[in-house]
Amino acid sequence: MSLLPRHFFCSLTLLTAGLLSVSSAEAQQMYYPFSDRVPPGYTAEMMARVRQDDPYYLQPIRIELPSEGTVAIYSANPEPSAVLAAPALASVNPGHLYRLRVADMPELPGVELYPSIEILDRLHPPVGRTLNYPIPIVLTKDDLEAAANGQLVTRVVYLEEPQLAATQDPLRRDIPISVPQGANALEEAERLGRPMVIVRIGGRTPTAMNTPISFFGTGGAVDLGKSVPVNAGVARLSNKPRQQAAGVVQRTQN
Amino acid sequence: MRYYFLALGALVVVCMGCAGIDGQSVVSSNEYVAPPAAMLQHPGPMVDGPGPGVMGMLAQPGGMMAGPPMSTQVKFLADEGMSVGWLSGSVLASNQIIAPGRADFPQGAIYQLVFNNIPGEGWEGKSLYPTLEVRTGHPNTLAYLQHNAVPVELTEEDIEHIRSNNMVTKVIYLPEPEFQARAIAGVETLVSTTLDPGVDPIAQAERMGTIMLVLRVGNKEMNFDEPQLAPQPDGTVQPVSFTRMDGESGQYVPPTPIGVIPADIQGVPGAMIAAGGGAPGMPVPVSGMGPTPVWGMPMTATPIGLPGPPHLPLGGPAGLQSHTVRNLSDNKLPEPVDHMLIDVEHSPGYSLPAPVKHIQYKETNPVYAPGEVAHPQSRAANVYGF
Repeated sequence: MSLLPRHFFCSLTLLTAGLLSVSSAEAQQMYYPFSDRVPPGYTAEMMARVRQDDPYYLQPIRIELPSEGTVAIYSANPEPSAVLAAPALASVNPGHLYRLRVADMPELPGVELYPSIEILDRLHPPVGRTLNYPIPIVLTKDDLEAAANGQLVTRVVYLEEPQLAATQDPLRRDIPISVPQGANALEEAERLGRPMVIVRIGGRTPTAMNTPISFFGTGGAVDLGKSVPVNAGVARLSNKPRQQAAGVVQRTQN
Repeated sequence: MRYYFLALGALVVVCMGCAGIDGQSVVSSNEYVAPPAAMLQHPGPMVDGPGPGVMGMLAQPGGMMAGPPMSTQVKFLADEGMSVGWLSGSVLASNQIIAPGRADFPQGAIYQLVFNNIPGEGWEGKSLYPTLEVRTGHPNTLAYLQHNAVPVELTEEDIEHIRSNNMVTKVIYLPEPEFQARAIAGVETLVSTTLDPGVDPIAQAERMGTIMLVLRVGNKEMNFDEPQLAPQPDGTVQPVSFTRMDGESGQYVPPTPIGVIPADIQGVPGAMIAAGGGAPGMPVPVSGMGPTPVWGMPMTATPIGLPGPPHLPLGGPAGLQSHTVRNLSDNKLPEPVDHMLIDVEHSPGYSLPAPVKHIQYKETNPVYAPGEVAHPQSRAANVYGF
């Protein structure tokens, strides 16, 4: 023992601690292949191929506007599949891209926007209660105003990690979380839970000439369920609001 | 002691790895550099979609990849009243939209525009004939182009420059994330008249982002009442007579390009679904056969059929005998997985008692002598028979 210098153990201890810190840093670094910056529809397509879920499953979504208005759902057709009053409840295919048209909002008179929704994943509710658990897609007034001013707002709706979820409705808390310009909103949502929907809101509107069909989505199915289209001559007597716990990661792209 | 420090130093170098002097020149082992978005879309070179052995090709019925937007929506901004028209084949369609208005232009082409009712004194009855270069969508800009209109504004300053015989080039681009803090209205515009002499606005914009539109405006007047020489798709030039249409009379036609953008013709051919071929009854895509593009189209004549530098001096006989392109990039692409091991664990694990393997049953029956057992009155009849 006397042949070894005393500081050898100290150096070895520091070196070991350094190695452990490097190993823990490596464990935290994980390559995330998806990004919200790839072309719209790509992530949903890839995730549908990886998951191999039932391609015919219809996931309910609930689209909310600041207060009132109409929501039209397009699916690879210039003619909307349905025009519903907000909040609009419909079922769509995971793995597909849909185009919406939101209009008739009293907060933004005369403004007509065409956001897109990319359905990444589905929920697994109890059998027979699928419609009780729609994915909430909340379009706030700030987002709509930013889009009308030429900005691209990207929101990622995710299902919160149960161990991280709070008891309050996250859509009514201080989030959505805004990520920096260069950050990957999808990766941040993956860190906080399970990404469900990418919502992109911009100011582009279809014109009569040269608007491609791909503008209107990738052709997934749309099921209205019990929802009644506007101007159908049927009055809806009850509109019981029900929210699913979900969070939102948002990035406004200048 | 000398060997001790030598061994300790070697251990430190081995464990910590090599680091650049500036700390940034060498990627450390726990950092990864993701390929660009265009490369992330394709799992392999020249292959689109996932491979057949990895993921199902028909994961969903009717599912299809969202293709790039074939058109870019342009929003023309100017003082009220300025109208925008365009050339549609041999038709000069004027007053198609009134600023601020928007129109969709197919990408990867150049369009001839015509501005009428230009604001400012001295422009009464005059027109401007700018060209609009609409770049093909890039993975960095596809999401923006699918959701936003690209603003093109003709300001009073631009008009004054045009009046002064200056050519104005406006480059509208989407800044890279590190430059987006300076963007105000979503995109950024570089104007040639605001740059230092000698600075190319297109090259400058390409350094800071991805170009979506290039507008070139001068004071050249064009007379469409007489036949003009126009380039044809086969490369020849033919005189073309033009007719006029006016949006104020309800005549609307879509714009058609007057040329394609050479820079948008990629040197590397587009990806194709290679995994889908080969099945019974399905043709196998072969380079140069049918709709499959030719790979390696030479830009200049080289003996090996690959793009090569031009012969220098120009006009001399071909003398190139060897053309070598070496990729010296230090890529660290992982090898494919050959044996997958998945360890699963749940805690607490199942815990059950050991199963019963020995049962010992012992019964002891009491023996009573007569008179030792007292029966209740209700059962006395069964015992004593009365």
